[in-house]
Amino acid sequence: MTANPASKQSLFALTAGLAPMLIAATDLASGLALSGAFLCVFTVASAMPLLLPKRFKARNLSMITLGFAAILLSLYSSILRILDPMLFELLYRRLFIVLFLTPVVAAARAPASESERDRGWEELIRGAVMSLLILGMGFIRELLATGAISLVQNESSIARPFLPIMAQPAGAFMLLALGSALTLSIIRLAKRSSV
Amino acid sequence: MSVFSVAFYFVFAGNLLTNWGVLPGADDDTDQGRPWFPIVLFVGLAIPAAVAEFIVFRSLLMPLGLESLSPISFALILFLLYYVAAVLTKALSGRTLSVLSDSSHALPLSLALYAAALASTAAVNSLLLVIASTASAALGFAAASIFLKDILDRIALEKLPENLKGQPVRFMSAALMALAFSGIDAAFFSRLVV
Repeated sequence: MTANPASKQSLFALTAGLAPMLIAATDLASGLALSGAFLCVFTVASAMPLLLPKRFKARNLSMITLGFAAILLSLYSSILRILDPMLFELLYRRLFIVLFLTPVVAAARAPASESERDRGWEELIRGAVMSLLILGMGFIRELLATGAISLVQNESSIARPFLPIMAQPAGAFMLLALGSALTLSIIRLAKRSSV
Repeated sequence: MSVFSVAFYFVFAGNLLTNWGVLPGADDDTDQGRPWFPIVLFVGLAIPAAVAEFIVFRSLLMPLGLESLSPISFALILFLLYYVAAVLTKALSGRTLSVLSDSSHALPLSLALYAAALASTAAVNSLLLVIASTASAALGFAAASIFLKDILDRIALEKLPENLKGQPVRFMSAALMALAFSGIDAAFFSRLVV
């Protein structure tokens, strides 16, 4: 509750801000849908401040950007409804959480300097990596919860629980904790080997 | 939320917040410095926002087939009420609003998180149940945030492996809290028929 989107975001802070989406991705299908929604919204949120004229005030710029992102997300959810109505019914409440995530709110700010404006492409790459993280989370959670992967829910995948806790929010937090610890240890090892 | 889970979260959150000195009424407050006004304000904003969203949902979103925009409408109403409250507070007393933290961005983000949390819960058809669910969810959300913060303050005094310090232990603490609540829900509330 003390996160400030106006401050410089570290990788871990952004991952923590992404936690609601990572918790919501309970299986591969939902992970795919949510990662697509995140990619669309984040791309718009990071690209619009660079494309809009500089005469807009910072607060208005953020509101306009998030407004466009909300419209695009509504279109995405409509397409999802046509492609897979069952998945849409399961996900439509979680889809719009994307607009409230810290990385999206942070990306919707006006660039503070010209150098930040020139490095806007880094934001797009960051968005792609985060959407892959959401997809990967759904993949791993379904694999650990049921022992199998399926894009279509069927009875056989539900009837063979492996680690059912992984389908719950508690399991997602545990995976995040283990993943963060592993990432920290890899970063420390890399720093030690480069010294 | 079922009626029993609403009642539980009211009792639990109220008990926790009273024992932790956030709400007045505890015999020995653990921290006299904890303000209770921000919690009351937070809950106070959430309840009218939920009522307004219920009306907007029934009268505007459902007839137009835009039920999926319910989270956005709730968040917009909540933010609108927060900024009205901030402007009124500034105009009447000259002070700025700050809830649960010194950061001026804490409350808007808290409201956003709360909006997302509320949007993820099942819809209810009774206005009274909407008000009760909202109040209990807001109280529970505030209590869980304070609870987690104090757990992390306590953990900071322990000797942890280097790789578990910071984000990993925060996520693990949140996992254990979520496990406890989901266990209570699965073992108790889901067995009760309303």
